[in-house]
Amino acid sequence: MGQALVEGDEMGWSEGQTRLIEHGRGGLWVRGVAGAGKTTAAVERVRRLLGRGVAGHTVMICTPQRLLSRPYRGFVGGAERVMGSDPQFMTFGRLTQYGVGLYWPWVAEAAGLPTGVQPTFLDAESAQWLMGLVVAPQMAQAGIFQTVKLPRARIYGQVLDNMNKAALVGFDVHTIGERLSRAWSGEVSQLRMYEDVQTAADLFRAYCLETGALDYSLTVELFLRHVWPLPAARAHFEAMARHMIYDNCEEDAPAAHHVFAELVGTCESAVVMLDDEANYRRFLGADEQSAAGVLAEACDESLVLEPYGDVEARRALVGHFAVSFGFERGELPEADPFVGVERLSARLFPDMLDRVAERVAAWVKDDGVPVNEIALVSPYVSDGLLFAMRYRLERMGIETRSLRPSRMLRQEPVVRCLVTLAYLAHPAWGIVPTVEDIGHVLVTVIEGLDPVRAALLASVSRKRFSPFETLVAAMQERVTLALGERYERLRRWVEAYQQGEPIALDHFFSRVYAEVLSRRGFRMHGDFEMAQAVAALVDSAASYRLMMAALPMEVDSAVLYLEGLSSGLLGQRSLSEPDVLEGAGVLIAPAYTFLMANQFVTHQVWLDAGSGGWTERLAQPLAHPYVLSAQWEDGRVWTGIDEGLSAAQGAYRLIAGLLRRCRGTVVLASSEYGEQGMPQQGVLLNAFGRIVRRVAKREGRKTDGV
Amino acid sequence: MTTPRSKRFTQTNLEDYLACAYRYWLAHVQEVRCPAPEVEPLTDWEVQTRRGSRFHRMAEQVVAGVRADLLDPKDDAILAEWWARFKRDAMRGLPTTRYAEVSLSVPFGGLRLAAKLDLLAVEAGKRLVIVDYKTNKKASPKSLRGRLQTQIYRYVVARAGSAFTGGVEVKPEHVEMRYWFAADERPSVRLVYSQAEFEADEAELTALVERLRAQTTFPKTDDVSRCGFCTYRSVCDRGQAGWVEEHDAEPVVGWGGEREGLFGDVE
Ligand code: SF4
Repeated sequence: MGQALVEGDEMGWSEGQTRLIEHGRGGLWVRGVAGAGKTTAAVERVRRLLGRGVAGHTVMICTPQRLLSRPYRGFVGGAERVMGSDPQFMTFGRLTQYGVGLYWPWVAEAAGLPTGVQPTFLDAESAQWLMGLVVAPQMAQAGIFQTVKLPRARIYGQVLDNMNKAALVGFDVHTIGERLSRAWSGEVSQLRMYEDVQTAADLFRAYCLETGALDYSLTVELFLRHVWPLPAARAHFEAMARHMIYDNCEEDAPAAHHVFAELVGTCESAVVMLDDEANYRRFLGADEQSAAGVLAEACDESLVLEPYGDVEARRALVGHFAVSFGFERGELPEADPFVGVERLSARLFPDMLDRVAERVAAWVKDDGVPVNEIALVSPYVSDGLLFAMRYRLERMGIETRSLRPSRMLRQEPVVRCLVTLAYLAHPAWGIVPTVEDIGHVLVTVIEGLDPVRAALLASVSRKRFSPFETLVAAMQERVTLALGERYERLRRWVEAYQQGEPIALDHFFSRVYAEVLSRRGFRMHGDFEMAQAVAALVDSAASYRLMMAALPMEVDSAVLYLEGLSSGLLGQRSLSEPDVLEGAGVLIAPAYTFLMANQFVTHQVWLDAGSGGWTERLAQPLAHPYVLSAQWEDGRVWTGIDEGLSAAQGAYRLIAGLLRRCRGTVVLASSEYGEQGMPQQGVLLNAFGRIVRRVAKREGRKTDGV
Repeated sequence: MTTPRSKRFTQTNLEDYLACAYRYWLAHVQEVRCPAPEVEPLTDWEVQTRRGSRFHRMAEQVVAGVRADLLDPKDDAILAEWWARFKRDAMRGLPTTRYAEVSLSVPFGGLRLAAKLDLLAVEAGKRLVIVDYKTNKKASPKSLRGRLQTQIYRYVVARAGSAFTGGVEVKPEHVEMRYWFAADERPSVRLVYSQAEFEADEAELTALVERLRAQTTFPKTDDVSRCGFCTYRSVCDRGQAGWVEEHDAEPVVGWGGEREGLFGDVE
């Protein structure tokens, strides 16, 4: 049941929403599940605050990640807002980096960091890379991580995750290994891995302190220790936050809660909102219990918002899932939970995708549902799944868009091509591209050249660019003079480059793009999609070079960069998510990413509903989101029961979150054999089966199973 | 769509529109990034923009309460010279209530018209001084009055500046734009605003935005000299990059680390 509407409120705000919108001085603590209308009301609150003359630069809008501030940005950037200064958008990450950068002279001095140098802030990718450089000698000499069968990027990523948790939860970074070990009760060999984790963390932290390279964990520590207590800094931040909105606080970690709670305590007004049954970023340290404790305490009043316009059937299904996953919910709702739920099953994975495409086409073409109102979600969206789904839908004339956190630069054909060109242009590096690589360059860049002639040209150039005129006449004829002239332009450019001094790698990419590849006669001419990929490569290589230049590392930056790129340690290209969300098309997204983008749609398809991925926790053998959280009692042992409970809770919250973001139909689509051809025995379908049987029993029916 | 995807009219996108409609369309409507060099030599350009951006950050630090002498750069003689000049006279005669890196905007032409100021110094009911630090030698004092930046900044502050005066009314006569030069000893250029200029700016900016909105095609400029500092040269087949000494762009200020971090994005 939705809340009673306030009489006379022509906008249809509920009583609770009206309280949120019109809240006066002090902090208001608001909680409610997704779909309760918290954010919509908070945007209206911002509108009214600014409308009555509050200066925008004194309003701080805090969210755990940028994507979640999208509804506020939409309003703030719109023409309907009154004139004035702009509100400040803040994430805890931004606040810490801004604060440390702004007050750096004091921070550096107080923390004993090298003074007189600028701080070098490391993003996740650079931190992973640097950790690799610092830890690699130990890996070779002392055999650390010898027993770990994981790609290096994931090893370093998990060590950094642990370091971040130490900063965000508030324990000593030198106790990560001990904490993990104390909670471990399995094979003894795992304890060695935890020791290695600590060794890597210690080495990396020592390196950062010595050089002023600031990864996220060190930035947070410095901020909490040396910026936040500074009176000048505090006054500066308090002036920026006379009025606060803090949305989705459950997706932030304890350190953020403590800092924002102090701002709540000093501001004129604050509305702090928590989504119940969410906490999707737990693996990054998000902690709803901390939020509910620290922030609720900092507020003067509280409010619970009920789902707005919630359908009884959807509520019933969420309740049934709670019971199926082992969480008692008291009396189950009487309503039929299967209203707006469809099952779609097939024997093989491709057949399932065919049927999903047909279902989507029926919504779009027969029922006139806008493409943006449909989302296809799955625990993981592999390249294969994305391509296969896109192909099917686009063949039917249905646009698609995908929301995936990152894509590797090395997967872009244009990037591969530029890397090969860099090797060709720098023979001193001693890396000779293969004939296939050169063929790939030629076919990718030269307009009109087909793979057969590209391969021919590549093979005769014997791993170097040979002049076209040196080719035998028959070969020249086969390639054609026109294409030969394009080949020559590229070849001559490389030859001329080799005559001069080598330049920075990003400058090299930029030049070869500008002077040859984007010119007429080449495929990149006027191809803006390729331009974006090259731009991402140039940015990545430039930021890498500048980072390396700022650090005392005696290494050849360019070759190392290319190695990092091909191993996937470098070049994780961020997609501009808000752009994707503004585009048109059926959305294809990993389920958690969809939830964190807080999208509400009419229809959802749960792809691959039989997969085990719906209930499995992210495999992190070197980290632990529960043990390294503020809620964990240090020294307690993590048991199978804890594991089962956390998996069930995660699965339930995922499913409840998806259901609450669907206004129409949910289709559970599965196949007997999964993407890899393995039989599917997913917990999600089993839980659904139990609901079917439970309802049938209640109604005195027999079931054929699901 | 013909309006900027950012839903804001700014100095940058309107200047691009005036320079070349096609450049405006590529950069601000389609938001196409072109990875070609903006100017040559690339290394000099990089040094110049990084130095300029560091200078702007240092100036922001001072407004946030950091003592200027703690920021004395020891690793860059040119920057040290700029900084000595800054300490000597950049703040001279300015009201003491100061805001750095201020973003203001007003509804305009169906979107918003926005200005991002290096510094706003305020004496409510009397003066609002907009300070813009110029860190390249190219900016000529003479051309500054007619600059779109001057028009937009003064107009936006005259309309929206009361956000910084505690609601006290701001009249155009209270607004002053001050260009301060870091790279040489030129005195600041002070441009005091007036009601007549405010009205003229409003009319001109309105006409400009209406023209832009009515445009259905976005042709390339006929004046190829404008292509020298444009990254879309190869798209348009328009020659080579211009030289850094002739370029008068100012750096973009930020604290680095623009990409998303592991936890919480850094914007
Ligand atoms: S290169 Fe010249 S014509 Fe092309 S967009 Fe730039 S300014 Fe316009």
